[in-house]
Amino acid sequence: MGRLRVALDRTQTPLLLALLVLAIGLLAPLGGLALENRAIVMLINVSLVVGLYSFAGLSGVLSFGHMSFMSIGAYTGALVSIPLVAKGTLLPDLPGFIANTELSFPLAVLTGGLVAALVAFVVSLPVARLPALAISLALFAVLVIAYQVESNWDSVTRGRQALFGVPTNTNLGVALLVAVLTIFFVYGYQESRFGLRLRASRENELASQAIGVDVVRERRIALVISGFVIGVAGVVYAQYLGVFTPNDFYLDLTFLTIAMLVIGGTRSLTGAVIGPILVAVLTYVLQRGETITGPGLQQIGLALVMLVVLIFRPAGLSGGAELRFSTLRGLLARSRFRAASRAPEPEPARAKEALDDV
Amino acid sequence: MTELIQHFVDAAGLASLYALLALPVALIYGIMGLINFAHGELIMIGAYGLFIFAAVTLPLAAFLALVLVIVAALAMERAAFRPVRGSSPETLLVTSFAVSFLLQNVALMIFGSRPKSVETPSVLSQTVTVGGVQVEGVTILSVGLALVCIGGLVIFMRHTAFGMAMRASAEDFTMARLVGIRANAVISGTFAISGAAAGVAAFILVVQGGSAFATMGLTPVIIAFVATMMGGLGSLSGALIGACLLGAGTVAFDVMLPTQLRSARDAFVYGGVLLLLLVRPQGIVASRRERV
Repeated sequence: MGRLRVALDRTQTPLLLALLVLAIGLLAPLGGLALENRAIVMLINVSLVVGLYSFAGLSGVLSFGHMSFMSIGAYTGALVSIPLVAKGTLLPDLPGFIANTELSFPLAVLTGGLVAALVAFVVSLPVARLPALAISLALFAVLVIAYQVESNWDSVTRGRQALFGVPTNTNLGVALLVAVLTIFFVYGYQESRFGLRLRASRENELASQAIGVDVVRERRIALVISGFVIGVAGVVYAQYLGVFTPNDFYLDLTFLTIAMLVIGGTRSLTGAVIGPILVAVLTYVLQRGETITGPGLQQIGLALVMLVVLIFRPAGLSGGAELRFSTLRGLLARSRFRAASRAPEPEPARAKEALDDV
Repeated sequence: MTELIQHFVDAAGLASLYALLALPVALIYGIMGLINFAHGELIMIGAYGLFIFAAVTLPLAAFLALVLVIVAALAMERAAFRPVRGSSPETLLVTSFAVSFLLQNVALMIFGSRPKSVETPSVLSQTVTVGGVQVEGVTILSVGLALVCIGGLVIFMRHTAFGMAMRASAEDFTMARLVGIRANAVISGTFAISGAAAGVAAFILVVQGGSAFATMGLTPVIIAFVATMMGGLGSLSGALIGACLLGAGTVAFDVMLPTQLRSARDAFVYGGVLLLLLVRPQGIVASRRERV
């Protein structure tokens, strides 16, 4: 019993977040197909933003380049899973070993994640050694490099033309499973010694170095881990779309994911999970508004909300706190307190009765 | 030999444009620790300014567009960056990212996604041939403007009271305030200078490309970032050297790459920069700000 309680205490944050995500994922189909599709996209965004958080949130170094790992995952996952028959006509000049592979969906997801992690490792060789702010800028350059390579490597990616014929294996269940696994995986990393060292370097780079944290090494590990998670999310997203171009993983998505992380709160896993959920709701409302104002309201509204959060609540809505049972209890108590202060009369009487009972 | 001089001339044209892009970014970073993502959108505003004022004569249109960009830069500082001043560099960076995205989409809403073509005098698009070397009008324009602007900036920073206040603030902002330098004035002034530089760069880019569009700030701002990063963040001379290297590297890859790879040239250039950073992670000129 005691051991169970300790285990529960340690995993309460990812458990609660997974429950939240599960609840949304299971309720969404009740609202029809359109809502179900929104829920799938939202769940993929949760995986993406949690992946981004495993680098940017834990290290405190912002990244403009993580969508490049997503595109690498997406293209890899697509190339190894497009049916052989279609591949011959779609991409006749493909190198032999890829041209002759056709993997099942789980293997494709794993391959996409691993290749993205490998690229992240190569990127980390020069990038992790830079000063914090320069890492953000260098990763932005990485995004441009990935985009340009994908837009021009016609024999492998079809360049700027859409890559189609990708099997659409992603459904609500898959998106849900990947989101939940991602939450637990990244939480595990966050609480491991690697995550602790990385967070120490975020709080104070010099002090963490003084107690023996190799900041460059920890950032490198974080880049590889986040590359893997985002690569996996990339495969899942690509196999939801079925058709995509390099533009699907470029600036708009970079902005969207950063906005989600900032609005939710960069300094906690809870923020990385609630950010995409809040933004999904916000986007829905703004899209409704666009029928009146014309297109553009969605992006402008999102940017404004992000600025308001940055100015008035820079730690995001989560404020850097994690969701725990005690948070929920606190929220409940507060609402009870509010209800009590609204109707103060009967309370003392009841309290007195309670005392009398004792 | 002629070919070599030709490449040198092309590189000089690019390098001076890049210097005009990188300097203001490095300047603002030096003063307040902000990497300004929205600098590209100042350029975009300048280009649309040229489009709006195109009805009047060009010198007047250029002047009005310049004023517009400076006002936009000041307004940007007042509305978005002053409230978050003193936050961590990451917060400042992401704030400017949000401002950049906001302005891009506002421009999309107003002007639409199709580029607006801007007429520029045909003199500037002509090519002069000097001893077998072809010099484009826009090359002469950007080299000239860059020399004037950078020279002006150097004189301003060295010999005026305000310039000295700026240098003092870049050295140690708190100390500068303690000896009576007004923080708001220095920062506003720096933004005005960056706005002016963006206006000049917008003029060159419009002469070069002939049009204004909402996302035109992206490529310039990436170039500015990469050049500043190469030079070691916060060092003005480093940013200049970075811009020159980047210009030279771009021309070199243009010449050396086979034709089918040329459209991915920037990928090679930035890849080269990353390799360079592998050797010198602190940039070419390691800045004092980052030194422990």
